[in-house]
Amino acid sequence: MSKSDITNNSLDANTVVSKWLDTYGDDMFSWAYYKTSSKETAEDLVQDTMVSAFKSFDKFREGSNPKTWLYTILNNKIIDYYRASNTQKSVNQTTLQGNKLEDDNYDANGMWSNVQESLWSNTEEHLLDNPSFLKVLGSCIEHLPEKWRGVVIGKYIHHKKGAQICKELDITPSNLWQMAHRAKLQLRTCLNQNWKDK
Amino acid sequence: MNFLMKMAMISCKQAALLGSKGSFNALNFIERIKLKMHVKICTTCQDYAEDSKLIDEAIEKILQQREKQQLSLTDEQKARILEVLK
Repeated sequence: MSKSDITNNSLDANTVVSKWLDTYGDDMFSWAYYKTSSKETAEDLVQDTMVSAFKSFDKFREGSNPKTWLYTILNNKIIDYYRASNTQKSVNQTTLQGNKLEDDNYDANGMWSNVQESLWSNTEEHLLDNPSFLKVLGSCIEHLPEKWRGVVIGKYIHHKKGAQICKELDITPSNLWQMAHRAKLQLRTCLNQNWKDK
Repeated sequence: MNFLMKMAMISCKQAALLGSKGSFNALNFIERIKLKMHVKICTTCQDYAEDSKLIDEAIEKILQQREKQQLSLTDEQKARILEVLK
């Protein structure tokens, strides 16, 4: 279908976008899930991308690669998703959660107050090869506040390059180190509570 | 010895935060020594460091798997996505 046939015809734009969803939807969904660790969020992001593609359909240049165009939109949506958690309300909420987490784990002098049993101490097998351990951890990651999740995933994707992660999430290096610390505490607590077979 | 003791005098919370900073290769020389000294004498922090390493490796494994994993949208999901275009 050439674009000249469909310009200014919203019904056909609709057809083209539906076709794109059929062709590229699964890949986009997989990519968004990889970047966010949440299938629900991934579906929303694919939907937002399709809506944007539909709305700015007249900006799509004939002959260019729809996949490239869609991925540009999707990647911006993913950045927006993490940055949306920069609102004061969300920042305050995450800070409160982080403070509480630290209060639960350390006493007033910063010593461990709630000594958790080490995850690997009672197990002979290698947890990394245990699918159900990885599944529990996956679900723990999914339940992290957005920003902490962004830090955890960004750390892997950007090979621990802090500057890159800070730029993407729009945070300072001190924020990054603190969020990574808090995410780790939260994940360990979550594993201790939900990993029953240890 | 006095100097060494002083270097190790950080709290576990500070040590964990330095550990986090270190995982982005962002520690300076003094911080690196402080962390090392503290962990050497603190068994709880040794446990935490082990757990932390295990969690990092497990996250790496999960994301490696996901990088290759191909998910499919169900027809229901596709219908839901297209619903808003109507």
